[in-house]
Amino acid sequence: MKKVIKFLGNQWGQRVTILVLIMVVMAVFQQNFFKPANAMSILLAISLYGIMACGMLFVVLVGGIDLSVGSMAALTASILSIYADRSGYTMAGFLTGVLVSIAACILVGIVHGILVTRFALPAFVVTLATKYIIYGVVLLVTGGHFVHIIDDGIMYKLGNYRVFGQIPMPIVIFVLCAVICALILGTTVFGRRLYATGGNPVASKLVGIKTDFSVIVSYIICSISAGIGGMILASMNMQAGPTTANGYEGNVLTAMVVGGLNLAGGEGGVTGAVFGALLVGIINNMLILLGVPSDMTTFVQGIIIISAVSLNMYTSRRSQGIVVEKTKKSDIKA
Amino acid sequence: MNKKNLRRVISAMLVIALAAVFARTSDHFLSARNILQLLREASFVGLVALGVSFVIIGGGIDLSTGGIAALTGLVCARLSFIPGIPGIAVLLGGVLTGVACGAINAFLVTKVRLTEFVATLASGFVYSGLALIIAFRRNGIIESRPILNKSFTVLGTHVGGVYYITIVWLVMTVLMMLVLTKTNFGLHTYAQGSNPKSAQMSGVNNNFIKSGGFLICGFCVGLGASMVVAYQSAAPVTLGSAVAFQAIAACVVGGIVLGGGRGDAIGALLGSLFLTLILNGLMKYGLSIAWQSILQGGIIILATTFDAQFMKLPIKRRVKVKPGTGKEGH
Amino acid sequence: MEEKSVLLEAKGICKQFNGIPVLKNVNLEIRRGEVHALMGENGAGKSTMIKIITGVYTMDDGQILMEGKPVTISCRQDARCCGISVIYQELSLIPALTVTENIFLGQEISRFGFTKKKEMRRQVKALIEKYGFDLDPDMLVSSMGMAQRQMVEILKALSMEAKLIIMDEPTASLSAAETETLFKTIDGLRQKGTSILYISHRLEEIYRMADRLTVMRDGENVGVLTREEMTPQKVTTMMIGHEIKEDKNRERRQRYEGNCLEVTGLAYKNILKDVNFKAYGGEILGIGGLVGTGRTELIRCIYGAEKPSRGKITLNGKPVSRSIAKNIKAGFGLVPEDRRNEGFVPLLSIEKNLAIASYDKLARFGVVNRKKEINFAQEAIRGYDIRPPMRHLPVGNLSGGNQQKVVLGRWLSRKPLVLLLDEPTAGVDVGVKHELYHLMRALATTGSIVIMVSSDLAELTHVADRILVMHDGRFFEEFTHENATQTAILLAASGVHTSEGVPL
Repeated sequence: MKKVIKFLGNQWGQRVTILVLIMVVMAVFQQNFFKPANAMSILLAISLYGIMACGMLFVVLVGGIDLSVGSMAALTASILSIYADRSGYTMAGFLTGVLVSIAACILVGIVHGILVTRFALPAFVVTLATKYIIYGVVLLVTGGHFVHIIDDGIMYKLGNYRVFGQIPMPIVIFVLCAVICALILGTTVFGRRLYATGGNPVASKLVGIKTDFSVIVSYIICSISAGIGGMILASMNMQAGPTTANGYEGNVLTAMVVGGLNLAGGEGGVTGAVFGALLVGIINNMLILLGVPSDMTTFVQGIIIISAVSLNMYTSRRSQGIVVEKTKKSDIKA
Repeated sequence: MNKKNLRRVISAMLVIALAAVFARTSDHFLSARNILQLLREASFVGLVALGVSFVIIGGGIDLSTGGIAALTGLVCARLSFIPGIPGIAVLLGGVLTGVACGAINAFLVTKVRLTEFVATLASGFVYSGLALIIAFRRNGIIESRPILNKSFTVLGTHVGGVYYITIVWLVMTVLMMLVLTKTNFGLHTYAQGSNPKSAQMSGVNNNFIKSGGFLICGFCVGLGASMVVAYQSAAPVTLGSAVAFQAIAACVVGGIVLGGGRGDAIGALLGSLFLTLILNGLMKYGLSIAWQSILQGGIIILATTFDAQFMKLPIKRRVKVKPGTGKEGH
Repeated sequence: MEEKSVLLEAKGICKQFNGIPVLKNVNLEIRRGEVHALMGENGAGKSTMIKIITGVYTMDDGQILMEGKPVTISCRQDARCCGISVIYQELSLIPALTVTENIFLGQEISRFGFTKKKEMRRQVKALIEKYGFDLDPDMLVSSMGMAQRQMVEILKALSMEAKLIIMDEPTASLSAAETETLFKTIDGLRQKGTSILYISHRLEEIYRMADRLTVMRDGENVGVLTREEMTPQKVTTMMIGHEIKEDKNRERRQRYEGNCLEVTGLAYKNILKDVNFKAYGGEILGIGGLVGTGRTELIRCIYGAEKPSRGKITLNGKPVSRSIAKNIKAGFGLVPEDRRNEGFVPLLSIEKNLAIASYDKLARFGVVNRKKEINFAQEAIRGYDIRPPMRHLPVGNLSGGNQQKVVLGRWLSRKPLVLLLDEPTAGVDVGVKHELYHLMRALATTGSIVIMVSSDLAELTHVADRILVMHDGRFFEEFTHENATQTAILLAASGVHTSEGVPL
């Protein structure tokens, strides 16, 4: 029993267990799951969540949360589609759209960051509010209608082109994003400072880290990644509008907790976020294959978040218990 | 004037100012009919805000009210199709659904020990998911079926122009105000929201207070949703999609500070009035849903920022006043 | 003076933690209506003693008598029933509630869950009148100052019919005027027959308030003094005990006048009033004084973590920046007092905690040079003997001493010009303590300025080349290593000049 708990307490132990469980269920009920075509569609589905999860990871690492990613994606999807459409699908129009979108992401990220650091407001309140504000802006920008994309150029290729005739573009972008984020977190000074900020802001300030800056940049990165996800989504759907990426924050948040990330900040990495996105994608796919109606995904998501967080808490409390004992001893010695 | 009262006056002034503006610019604003309609609209948000305010004052947050409302609505609708069922039983079923959801939230927070934010966000997904599961469908597509149970829909009507839901709202507000100010439970809720550790050391049962908050919240939401369904004679699955956020916005406008320990039922009432007035009034000026959404988000940010700075004020003021300037800070 | 009857008597109290005796046969006798002071250096066992009396810890051996009858106190509730209440350093009031509500919180007078406010208010009012407090029962605690809040705490204790009120450093966060009010309150309580156990480091308060004084040292009580017997010399001698003559003729280090930190006229809020000193390379400058006199604030001001309200800080003639990041680049380093909350990032590895302040050297264009980082960490782990020597281990899992080695090592590896240490050996066991001293000396020998704030008198006399003692927001006296004695430092910290020191 102890060994089982220890195995489940290990992050990779948890991940392997969950994957094996899914495999077993699918092997029994739906063998189509294992077909290569299905694997590709899973990857396609998770690439969007994955890109957004990589960005959200930064915010979670500094102990925050961003509930506005769904709206943010809708906004960039709409902006890009409108620019592309108005310009008659020229490269210049497309690029302007991308630039304006990214600028909007940066602006939103800065606003989030400043409200959270300087005004010390809770992150979930701020981003819940901006979720609605951005949604309102999407309605204004689109006039409440869908923008349809009629193009076979860059606007189509962004979401549908197959690299080497095989690998869909979104997957390539997802891998690229994951690698870039892993590099930022793993090899740059900024990454080191980010972990320190999330792990102990007071100590970080005392070693000369500008913690407010770390937090603000995290929110910017999160918004940008949400924006990139939105632009790809627009191209994949060949349309963009108010309901684009609706509720994606739920998927991304689920990915975070399923990936075993500590929402209090300071620990976790890209593998967690990617694994989380993978699992969310697989589970959604599984539900579809098993014939569960699509509008039930929120229900399943809720259950998954609750069980994943409970499991994380249960196992981490165990590992923390050991730490607490140790420090207590040394304290008393003094 | 102490800070608590000052904050109350500010929210009251906001409501009055807004009403004054609309009264000046629109002829029929002050008509009894219009005011009663407005009150009816404010009632649902008001009831939900009243419930959420308990959780917030106790230092928590409930993001699941939208889900609870949707689920309650559909439970009522389903119940009302049982032949011969009295309306009061349908209402009871709805309220119990709300209380049950609150109990689940309480369980997740106190027993499983999830943070309020994560627990209620996730449970909100579950409740709205359940609502979709039990929704009426034709050929697999969700449809909103009109409720014909007269003994239930009568709850959505009015007496002498005043809608029952408004009466329920006002009665509940008075009741909750009594609970907050006159009972040990209310006192302990403030204590818990203000300083949970000290409260616990003084013998306040933290889990009991948290659970109580979620149960009251579930009760209020269940009650509100049932009454609205009775009024609309239908239970759309989107019943709660806007109300959860509006209720939080109403709370913060009414001076119920996120983080706990401040605000009361009257604040929730004023906040709901303000929010309904502004959304409703501006809609009459042709304000699109886009602006409504932006406005709500903006209000939350402004109000929380204001309160965050407002709370800091007395510390600054005390230092400043000491030399004897005697000036009222704000 | 007539003999008052005994209220609480603790006899032969023993307590061990993991086999290490913390209290050895301690006796304590508190009489009715007296202010009884309890003194002792940090680690003498005062707080353990209080925790036993109030039921937070259970004793291993001994007996507690309340009014002559033996009682068992195994939890807080037991203590409360016996009439023992504690006023904590961090007050435990609820800011959002009124005085009345706070006093009755948890034991409201109520019927069917409805609070009887009027009845509660009446009782509070009666209490206030009985003790002559200046309080309004309906006032919100959030709008009150520290001293008033303390009064509410005391009132809360009295409402539970406390016969003995324990006050742990009650003046720590009070201004001079507020302290005066507190003393008046205590006087009033004494006259009404309430006993007070008063714990403080401040001798002047003890002389002023206490009827009797119990002195503790190393988990034993050294004696009880009556009011007439309390003289600063006697009390300090009892606290420190027989001073071991140290070999003061150790090799003197070269003083590097070329590396000089100068502070002139420094003031910070109302804590630091006018601080002036020079510190030179090659010496370890010890800063002594009581807790709360502004020693921590002083070094934080120098480091750039706090903004001084007045004064000048220069390093080798150049003004010191107000930005921590710039100061680190210029060669500053700080080992903070609260290691766990301010010193390191518990979840991060030893390696990253060591390197966190040195990426100016370990990275180029914002990208970390992994090889350099690993080398940096491995050298530090080896050089400072951090155990276990595994660079991937989270620092939160290390022992206190090794955590401190990581925090210290972070700066030592940068070869800082100025190293500021705040209570560097608090919570560190003896063996590691000496390793830390060795590391500090080694750094000073290379010409760096080492400034060490410490409450451990033995540490100051042992390690520091020069000791400045702070009192009332200023430096009060200076000692050389050769002349310093623990007694003299302790006296200086309480504002008493001695022949060993040089007044400033």
